[in-house]
Amino acid sequence: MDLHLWAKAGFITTPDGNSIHVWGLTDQAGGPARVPAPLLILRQGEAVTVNLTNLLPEPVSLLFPGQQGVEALPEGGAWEPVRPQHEGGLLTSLAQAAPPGGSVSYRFTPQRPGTFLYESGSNPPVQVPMGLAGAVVIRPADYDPVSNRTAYGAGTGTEYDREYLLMTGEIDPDMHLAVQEGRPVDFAAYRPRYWTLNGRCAPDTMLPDDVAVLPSQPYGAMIMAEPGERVLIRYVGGSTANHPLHPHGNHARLVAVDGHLLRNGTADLSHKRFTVLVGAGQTYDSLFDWTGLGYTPSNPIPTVIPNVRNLAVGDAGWTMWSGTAYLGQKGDLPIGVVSYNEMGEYHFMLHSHEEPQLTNWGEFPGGLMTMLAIFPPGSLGPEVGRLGHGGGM
Amino acid sequence: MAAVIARDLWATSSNASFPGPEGAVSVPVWGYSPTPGQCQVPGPLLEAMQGDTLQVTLHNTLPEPVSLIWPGQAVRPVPVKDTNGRFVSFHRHALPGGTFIYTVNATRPGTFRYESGSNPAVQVQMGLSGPLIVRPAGFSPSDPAQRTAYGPDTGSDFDAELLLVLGEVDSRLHTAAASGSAVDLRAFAPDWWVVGGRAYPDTVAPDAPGGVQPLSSALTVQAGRRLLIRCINSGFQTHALYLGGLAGRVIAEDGYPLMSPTLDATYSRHTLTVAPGQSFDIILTSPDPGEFYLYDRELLHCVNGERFPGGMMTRLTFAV
Repeated sequence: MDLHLWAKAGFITTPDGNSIHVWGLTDQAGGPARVPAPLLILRQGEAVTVNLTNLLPEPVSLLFPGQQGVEALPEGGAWEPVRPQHEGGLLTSLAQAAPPGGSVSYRFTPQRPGTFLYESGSNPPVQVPMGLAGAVVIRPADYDPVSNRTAYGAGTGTEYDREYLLMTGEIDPDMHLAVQEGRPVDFAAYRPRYWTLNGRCAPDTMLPDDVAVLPSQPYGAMIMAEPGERVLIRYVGGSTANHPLHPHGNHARLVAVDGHLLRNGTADLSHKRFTVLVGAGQTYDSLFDWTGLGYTPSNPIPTVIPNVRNLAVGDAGWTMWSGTAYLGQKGDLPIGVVSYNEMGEYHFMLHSHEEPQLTNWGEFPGGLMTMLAIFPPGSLGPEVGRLGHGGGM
Repeated sequence: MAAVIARDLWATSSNASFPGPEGAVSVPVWGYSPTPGQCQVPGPLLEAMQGDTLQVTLHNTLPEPVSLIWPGQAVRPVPVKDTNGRFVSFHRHALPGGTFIYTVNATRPGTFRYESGSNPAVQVQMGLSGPLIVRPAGFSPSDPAQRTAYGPDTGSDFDAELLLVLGEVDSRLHTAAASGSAVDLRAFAPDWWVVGGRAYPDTVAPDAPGGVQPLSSALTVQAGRRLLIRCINSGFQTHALYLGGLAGRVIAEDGYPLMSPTLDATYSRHTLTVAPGQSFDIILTSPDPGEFYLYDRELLHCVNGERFPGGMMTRLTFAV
């Protein structure tokens, strides 16, 4: 596979109306910078070449942590192992870089399936928070999107019905402004004001993939499934902080960390957690199936539709209620509300337990939070919970 | 053969050096020292064999009470309160100018640390902590079968070992404490992040025996050899140890091996968040030669001032 990525500047938006200067990657010639960088979906055993063109004002490189035998093709050079670059004995870049206006290529053959990152290895304390990082999903060699949908291959206990990827991030607007204005970054004063999932702050996290109003943030972060389905969530610590992520309503089973299956021979080391500390630069794969409080299709949970006066009524997308499971049932809509739980789905929150981070510049709700929605049986199409949206890579 | 290992540690003050934009910056530190002279940060490595008894005599030359606590060891702490009942130390201390002898039975092998249990938010930040390694019974550096961190059949046999002691330095706090001024702990804000008491590029400079920051964190090992990394977080912040893009095998946490006769619970990581006070033992190897930077994936800690590279970074070389 031959991929092209362009590193360039752009802007993302936050729900409070802010516009943040970012450095991102795009896989579309002339397309907007994207945060996080395009998701790379690769296959175990199939070689990939990533060609990077740098449209930023300083050298940019890419690291592929956890991949073996990565080679680089610097401008005017020959293929060579990827390695740290030095000048006068001092490190200048953790990998061969593309100079401003220039290019560099990397190639490797994924050896193992799993969830990984890729990120800039040049001036990373600036470039990674600015947005030059993305996720890599490596499909097992025997993967089949219809008949053998697993995270780590047949026989690994990682079958799933729908999969999602949530990449954490933090934004210190002052850092981004300093970069925009070409000033040095004052790391001692670093203080994030926004926290993101897939580059978006809540409530934008709950919007679909590829919405027109977020051209630089094409990845949604809404988890959707039906009762009894097995859901794979790939958590990726994309920026520089650790985040304790906590899905309500489900105790998820951690099955792999950093792309390594939690299994030694016959010993199954997978374990349940209701909060996963997603560390910076680390990945965690978790599986759950929602069975609910005694829910079966023939015996839906008894439903009491709430009185409208007890609902928080807001704009479309914010009027939600999940006091009791009421799958498939809904009452009358308040005047002016387009919908609340559109199909009578059951919403749970999924959020960081560092709750000051559920804010957009100090305003709750926002930040590092999304929803996990269980829909009535038969209401979700097979296209829901498939990676590979967000620009079509 | 169980032995009594007698060591003397002096709690003293000195000046450490960190890379600044216009050359080295001198920062006052407190630390433990094997001599009455200048201190070391981190404190000197204490080593014992499983079954040994450590007998450490602490000589306090600092202006406030200093103690030693032994997280992970079978030591029953005896807290010290002042005459008003106010809590002073987690464990018996040596008064300024005084001494105290600590007896520690090294009952199990592992990677540990010792640190001051007196005014620890200041004293540990000032440098009063150090590593403790307990070797398993039968350990022999020259016998590959006995060169292990936790004994046979624990997946901990190694060819070389590297000690990474993580931490931070808040130079304003250091200056205030060293001059006897009031320390405002609310303002704690490190300006250097360190491995083995040094910030990159000093981390990759050679060992400096007798110096205040004697410990190099750079190492060259032969490709294919099993390197044991003992990582201790002696600081107050979490740090995400990035293993240069390689996969490391975590074989022990907080000095507890993860492999037993009935269960192999070791696991592989590329990056590992290490919380304050935790230790991890990791077996790392590379089949191919090359240079690998190990650093804090909380990347904001890989700077000196406004510049990358710096801070919590070091280099590992797998040689041909």
